[in-house]
Amino acid sequence: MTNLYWQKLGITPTSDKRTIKRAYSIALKSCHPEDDPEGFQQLNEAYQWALSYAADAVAEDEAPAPQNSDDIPSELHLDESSLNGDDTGHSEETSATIQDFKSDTALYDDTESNNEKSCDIADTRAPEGASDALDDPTDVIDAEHLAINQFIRQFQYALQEPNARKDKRVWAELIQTLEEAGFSFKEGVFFAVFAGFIEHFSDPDVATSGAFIPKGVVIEFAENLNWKANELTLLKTFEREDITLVMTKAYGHSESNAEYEEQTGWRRYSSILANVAMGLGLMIALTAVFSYLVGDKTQEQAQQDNEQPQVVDKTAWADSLSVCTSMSEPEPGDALDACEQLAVDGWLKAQYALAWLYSRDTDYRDWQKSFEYLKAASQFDTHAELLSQIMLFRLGNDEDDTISGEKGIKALANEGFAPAQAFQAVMYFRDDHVLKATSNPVYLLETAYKSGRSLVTEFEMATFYINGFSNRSEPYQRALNLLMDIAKQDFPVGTNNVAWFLATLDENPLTTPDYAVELASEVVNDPDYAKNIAYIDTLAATYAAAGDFEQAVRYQSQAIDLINQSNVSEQTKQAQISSFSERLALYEDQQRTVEYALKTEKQAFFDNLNRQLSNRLFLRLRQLAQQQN
Amino acid sequence: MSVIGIDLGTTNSLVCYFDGEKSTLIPNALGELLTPSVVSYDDKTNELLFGKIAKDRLVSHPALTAACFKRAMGTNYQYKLGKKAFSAVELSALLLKQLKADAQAHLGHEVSEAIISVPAYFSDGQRNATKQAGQLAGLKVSRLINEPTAAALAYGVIDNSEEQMFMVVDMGGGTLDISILDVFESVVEVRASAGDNYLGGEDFSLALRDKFIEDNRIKLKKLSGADLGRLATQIDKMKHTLSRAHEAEFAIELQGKDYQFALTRDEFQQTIKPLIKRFVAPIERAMRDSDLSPNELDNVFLVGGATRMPWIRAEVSKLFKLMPMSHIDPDQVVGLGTGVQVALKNRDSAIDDIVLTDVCPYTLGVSMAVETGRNQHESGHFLPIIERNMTVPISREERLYTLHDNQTKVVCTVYQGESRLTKNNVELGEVEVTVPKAKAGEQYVDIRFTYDINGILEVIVNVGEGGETKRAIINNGNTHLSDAEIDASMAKLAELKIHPRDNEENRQIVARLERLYEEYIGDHRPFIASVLRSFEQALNTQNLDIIAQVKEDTVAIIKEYEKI
Repeated sequence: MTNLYWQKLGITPTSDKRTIKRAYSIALKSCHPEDDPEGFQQLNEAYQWALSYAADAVAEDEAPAPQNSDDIPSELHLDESSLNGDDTGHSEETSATIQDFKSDTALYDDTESNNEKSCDIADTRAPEGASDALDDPTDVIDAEHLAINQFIRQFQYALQEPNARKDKRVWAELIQTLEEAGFSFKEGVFFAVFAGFIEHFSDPDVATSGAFIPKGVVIEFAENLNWKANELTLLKTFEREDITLVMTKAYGHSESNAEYEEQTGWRRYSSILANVAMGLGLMIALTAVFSYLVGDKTQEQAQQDNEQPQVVDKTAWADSLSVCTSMSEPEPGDALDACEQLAVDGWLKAQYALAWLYSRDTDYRDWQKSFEYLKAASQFDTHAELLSQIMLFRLGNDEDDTISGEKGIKALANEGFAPAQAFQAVMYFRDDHVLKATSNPVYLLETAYKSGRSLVTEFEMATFYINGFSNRSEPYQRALNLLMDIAKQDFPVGTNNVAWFLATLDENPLTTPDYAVELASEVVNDPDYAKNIAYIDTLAATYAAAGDFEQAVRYQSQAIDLINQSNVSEQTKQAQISSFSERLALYEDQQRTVEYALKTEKQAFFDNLNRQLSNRLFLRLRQLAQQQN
Repeated sequence: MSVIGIDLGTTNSLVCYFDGEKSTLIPNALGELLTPSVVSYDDKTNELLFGKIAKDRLVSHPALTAACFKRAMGTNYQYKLGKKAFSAVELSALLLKQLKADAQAHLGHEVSEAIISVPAYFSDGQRNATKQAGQLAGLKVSRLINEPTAAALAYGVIDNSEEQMFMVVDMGGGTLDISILDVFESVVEVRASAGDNYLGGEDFSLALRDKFIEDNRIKLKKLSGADLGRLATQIDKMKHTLSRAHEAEFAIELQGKDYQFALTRDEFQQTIKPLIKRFVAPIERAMRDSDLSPNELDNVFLVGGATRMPWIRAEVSKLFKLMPMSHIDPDQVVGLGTGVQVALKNRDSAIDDIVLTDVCPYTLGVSMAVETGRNQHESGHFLPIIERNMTVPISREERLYTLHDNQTKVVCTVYQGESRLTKNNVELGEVEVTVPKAKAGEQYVDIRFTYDINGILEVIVNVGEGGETKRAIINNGNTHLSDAEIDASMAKLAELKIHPRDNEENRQIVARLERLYEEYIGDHRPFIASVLRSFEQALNTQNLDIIAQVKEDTVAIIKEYEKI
């Protein structure tokens, strides 16, 4: 193969670039790019290959003595003490990590040797003595070389020392150096910085350390080193998922391909309807992401992949994880031990499950443990990240924790993460915050609601308007519009729910009772849903609200008949019949059923919403834990 | 039959030919080498006007005049000139037609073929649009040449220097292009090119205008088109003054209020700091792609009017520790280079032995799904096939496998861009093939990308084991005109009256007077109006002696005013 390359160029192997170039230019005459594209491509390949062969040969001949790593440590300790102040206890640990790092950054060393090599070439080209007139280029390079080394050391130090890591000033200094740096300096630190961030963000210890890189730091590195324009260069060195991890930290979730999945749930009759809806939602989420293509670079590589053992993906489902999902409370025992071991080993779904289990209102509730698992999982899931910030805010040890938690919530809300927006809104409405309020809570809540009703329900939103908490004009009209939209858009579930809400409200100044009857009839008149007990139950309630108790009794009895004929378990059947019969008795007594209160106290409303939001976030974690994809 | 070279710029255009020995610029009807890339419509005479006359009308008749249309090449944006609407392709065609007429008048024979320069960063769609503009103007575009390459050609050949590695920094009115070239043994090899399609002199003018607007708390929306035109003239003057002097100022009346504006060079550079950052980014990218260290560069050449700004020299010296060169007029370099290319194309004896190799400015590839977990895939990932800055012509192939059991078709969506996620890249088109049913991963397709010297991409998808083969030339979607559309455009343009060349100078005097009228206030206005009236009366006599006499006086008056 290599002989063919030299043959194409018509020369014997050489490390002299000029010879190669001359040979190339002569060969070009016979395969001009315009006349012979194919021949030209082959010639150009040979030429490029020969040039890199020459570069390698020169580098090998004049490989720089490995003195670079030797002249560093003495300076290194100086730097640390200046950064560390009086705290000298860390220096040993730091120098160890730097040693590790040196071996990781062979790329950076390559760049350096390139510099020296080219410098040597320049010297051989220039007549003797000419370089005296100029600044000696080797001096410039050596100075830059040292500056690069120092920068990387400071960067690593900032990443690894928790105290430095959360210190904005330490980062500001590094960023300023980058901003003022020339091209070869940036080139020198480019890979080392990215590798450092990958290592940092995939380190589970960092997540539990409580010391985070301040917001806005990573993006400064991204912008100054121009990561976006060089993504494909990065791709040649790093794994796709590692790049996604760091890019997401820099630019937010728009840089990842995963989209925020909406979940439906927390509705009336959640035992009947929500599970169906959830199942559907999951199926859609799973099928929608598939595309037609799978890419593997070459056939050989594909075969290699098959032959080699697959790297275990700990974010995925594994059968051993069922030990976690089968528990409903963190009762000490073998199962819990096994699950905790999985979580410690880095299995994401075990971490989700445990975070949820320890948050449950049981004898074994342990907020500290829940928090730890959340922190570990928050690398991969924004819900977990938000929950951990909320816990820090609510249950932190001191004011620093509270502020740090609130800042975290705020930052996520600023990134447009709807649950964080909802939570921030509730914080402001409850006057439960330390930092100055900087966003309009009404706007936040409305935005969050628009992102999906699984977070804030339409009924909560309607109650919010009706009671005037929004201070917006025409609160009733707003509430009604919102409900009517849902009734129209989300047939039959939304239609049914709105009908039920309107019919069982203690007082209904929004519409005439006939509107609820209309909605409920629309559902039941659809042959697909005509036999659904939940919908018939709603229809009965709407008739009762409209004063037509005869119809109410008729439909409610029909629903009970249907329950009797169904094949659900005896237990469920009994529970359903008792609940349905309660309402039947009311209708026979010429009374309607009341489930919702129109007016509510502001404090009570937001206290409840606050609780609901945390619950829903934890439930989301449980769902994530149970997804066996 | 003869071939010309055309630099179709955002602000100015130039025509060039090869006279057998060297590349030579052709003057337009006004005797100037630079023809402003502006088209204006005269609703009184129903005529189209070009170049300097049209540029002057930017101030007096902004609603009837279009400029900077090169930026909209390859889009469907419609420029309104009065009641008529034109696409950027059509406006470029009109301008090319005029340039062709200038060349024919100068050379004294028919011109039917041209080489046109385009920014290296132009996409396939934009390149096609440029070719179509040539076609509409009645020119066979035998070759598109990257602007920096043309510039390098002008430098390389004119200097006839020995082996050297250099960078061309080309910033014109609308685009920034960076190229790194290796010249040796009569080979001109482009090592890398990078750029920013939306950064040029106009952006610096806009930044300056925004500062003026902000400092004086003026609402941009309240200004009329004429106000904006006058303001733009002042802002441009100020920008040019700041390149020579350390401070500049102007006074202007807008909506009945007088404004003063003074700025030092330092303040100006503070204002444009974000733009300077954008200027440096592609330079760094090109350096990385070419695998060079800064001390391997022998020279940096500055090309394009906007590189006259002094901070550019400072920035370049900081980056490379060497002073950039600009000994050929930065406005003319590209134009001269197209002339050299004409000679290369004809294999003219003078530079017979020079071979030029260019690179593909973008990464081109297809979308694919990657495995994110067991049986879990994520689509929307980009698989590069031809990487940016590979030498063209080039042809490369990748093999992809089916993802699902019994999959029946494979859709290859072609993208260009530098992001690992296809959603951040530009979709160029797609090819769909059917594959035989089989287990997932058993069937495959070979996708071959072939990128030619004109920047046209051909995609061939071959289904493995004797399956079907599909081939597509990828054009940038909506910009591609069908033959019928081209005919319709041609008919539309043919209807338009183009002002006769011999009256050009007189038309320009009228346009200049109209502009002066807009720019001046107070007693000057009635005076300028009277000069304009008497000149128009002279023109109406159609008596050449009278016209010549009045013209002399009028030009003298205009010169007086323009000096102020």
